[in-house]
Amino acid sequence: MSDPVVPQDMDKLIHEPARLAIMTQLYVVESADFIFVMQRTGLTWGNLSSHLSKLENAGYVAVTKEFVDKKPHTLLKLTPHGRTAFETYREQMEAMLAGLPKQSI
Amino acid sequence: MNTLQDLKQEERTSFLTYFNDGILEIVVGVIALGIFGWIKADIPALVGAWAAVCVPLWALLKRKITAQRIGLVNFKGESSFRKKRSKQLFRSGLGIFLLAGIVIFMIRENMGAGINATFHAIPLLPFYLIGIMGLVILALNIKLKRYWYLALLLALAAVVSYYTGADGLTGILVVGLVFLGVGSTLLFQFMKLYPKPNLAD
Repeated sequence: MSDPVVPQDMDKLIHEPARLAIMTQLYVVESADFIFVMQRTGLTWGNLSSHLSKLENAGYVAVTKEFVDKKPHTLLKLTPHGRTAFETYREQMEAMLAGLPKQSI
Repeated sequence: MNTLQDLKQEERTSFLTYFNDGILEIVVGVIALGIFGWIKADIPALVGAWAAVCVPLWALLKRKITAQRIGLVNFKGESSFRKKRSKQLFRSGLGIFLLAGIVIFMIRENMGAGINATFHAIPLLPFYLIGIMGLVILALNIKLKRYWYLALLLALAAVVSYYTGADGLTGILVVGLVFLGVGSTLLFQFMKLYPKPNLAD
């Protein structure tokens, strides 16, 4: 049995559970607004804002502010860089978990 | 929070959330009650126009209730197919209801003897067929069991109308009320499950 390998270059920005949830939601859609991501992830407004800032600064998420029916509306979208980073993270996690034995010793 | 979610399941859950608000059922119920009302008032030609008026109502309710609670989302790449299908469904629905108005008008005005004879066995058969077809298309596309049950209910109403010789309008009234009931219950549950988010914590 091969030893499970923990990738050293695992993206810690995505690895954090709240940010992973945000990335997962945005990965399966073209774009979504703030309320959608907030509802689907269960994060509060402040928490989501804070995590989104980090993801935006890393260039993973594009944030567009616009007006819909005269109300401010925040549109979120994974950038191509963010999509690639998420796919790499996913592959690393799958490879790491696939190396684990079926039962604990 | 599940960190290793099944992405396809996640996409499906996001997609289905939009159909669990009961608004479609409410609008279909309102359309059915409109059919009942217009035919009862002897103005069947307005049925198609009524359906066309109800479509913006659906969009308005979606924007005012659903979008404010669960937000807005555009499904990605592979789902441009889904968007296309939604547009096709929308156009088919509109076309079907306009056609229904024309057919009913023709029957009422005795403009098509053949059509009249064919549909005479069950009063308002075109509406039942159109309704059943629409629900089956929805059930096949969205894969929600609820639409199969509602299609079955409509078929049952047509059969009961046939065997009891009852006025086909009564069946449409009952079906409309059932749709309204189901839609209102779903909407109530949806609003309870997704309260308006607090954007100022």
